[in-house]
Amino acid sequence: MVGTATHGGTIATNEPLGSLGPKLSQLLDDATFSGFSDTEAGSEISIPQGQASAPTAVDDDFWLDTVTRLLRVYEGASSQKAWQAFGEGLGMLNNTGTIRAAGDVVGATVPSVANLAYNAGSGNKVVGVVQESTADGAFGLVRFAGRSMVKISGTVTRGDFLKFDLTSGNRAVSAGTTLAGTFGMALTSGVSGGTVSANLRGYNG
Amino acid sequence: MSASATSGYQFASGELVTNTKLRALVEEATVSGFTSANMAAGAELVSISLTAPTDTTQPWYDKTLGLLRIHNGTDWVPQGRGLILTNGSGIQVVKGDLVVLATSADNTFTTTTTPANARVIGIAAETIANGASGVIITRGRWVVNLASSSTRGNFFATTSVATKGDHSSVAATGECGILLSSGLTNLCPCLLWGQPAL
Repeated sequence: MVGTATHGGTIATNEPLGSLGPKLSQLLDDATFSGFSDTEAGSEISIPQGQASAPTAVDDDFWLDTVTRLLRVYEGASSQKAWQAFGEGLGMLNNTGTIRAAGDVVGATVPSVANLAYNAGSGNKVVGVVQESTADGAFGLVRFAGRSMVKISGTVTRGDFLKFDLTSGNRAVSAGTTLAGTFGMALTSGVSGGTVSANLRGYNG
Repeated sequence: MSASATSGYQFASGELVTNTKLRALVEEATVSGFTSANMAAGAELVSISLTAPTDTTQPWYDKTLGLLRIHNGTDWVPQGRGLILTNGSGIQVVKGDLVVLATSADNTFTTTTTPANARVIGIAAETIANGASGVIITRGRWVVNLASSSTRGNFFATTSVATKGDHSSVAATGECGILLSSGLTNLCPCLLWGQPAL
């Protein structure tokens, strides 16, 4: 956490000693400090960077993601460096072979391909919902719990449970009031090809 | 506004300046008054307070509810285990009340008299007047209001008594959590699963 100080008062060359004492005090008493940020690895005080894109990270840095409105931490010490979201999302590798967009539903159908990777979803192997545009082979945030925008096929009515859409391969469809095989519940209504706001449960029952 | 310093030694006019006094001037100095305004562009402090801060650009640890919250331009959204929803129940709910998602309007909760209602969305974190918005805890440790005195280890679900949970030693469809304390009817500590049992 490195900031800058600006001293208060000034001492002239050859200034009389008699007036020097109070001016020495003034150096600090009128000094100001500003520009603090979290720039040192291992700092005990972590200050999240509030911005839309990921900051240049050191291990254990925090980032207030102003797009997803999530507090994220850089787990640089892990085998897969990525920005995680507390309790609600994972930084995961897009292994689907194509770019993914916010609202895409993804799963883990080939778990041995890479650590922390997701594939195109299938059936009940839903991992979560992509939160940001993520190129194939890149890391991006996948939300598994909490509120998320979700792409849908077919009409979804608020209160409906959501399951993976096998036809589109990246959207959710309504399961009506059937809980089995679903991963969340719609908080809003939507039409086919659109989106709904949903509460993801972190469990694909 | 910048942070300010207070020197560790105050010199009087004409006072002899010594090495010891000069060291005390700096080494015993204090710095105070840090706010977000002191930070570099983009760096944010985390507020910790019982009530919401006026600065909505920085995260807020809500000491009242024990939740980290981030402002989305409209609400202070809890991170990790809660939602902001509107009370469409027609009554005021209080902390610990078990509620379900309403189908009458978007982003709205209501109460239910259907036992083991699968649309259970969570537990009220605070008093929420009818028509107002508030925090609903969706998973993790919280407290729940029950229709009968609790038994530690029992599973709970919605019941025929609005806002109250029923509990049983057998996990059945619609159970949404487990009780952590015995002998309590109101505000019983519990673990909310976030997913009703199938």
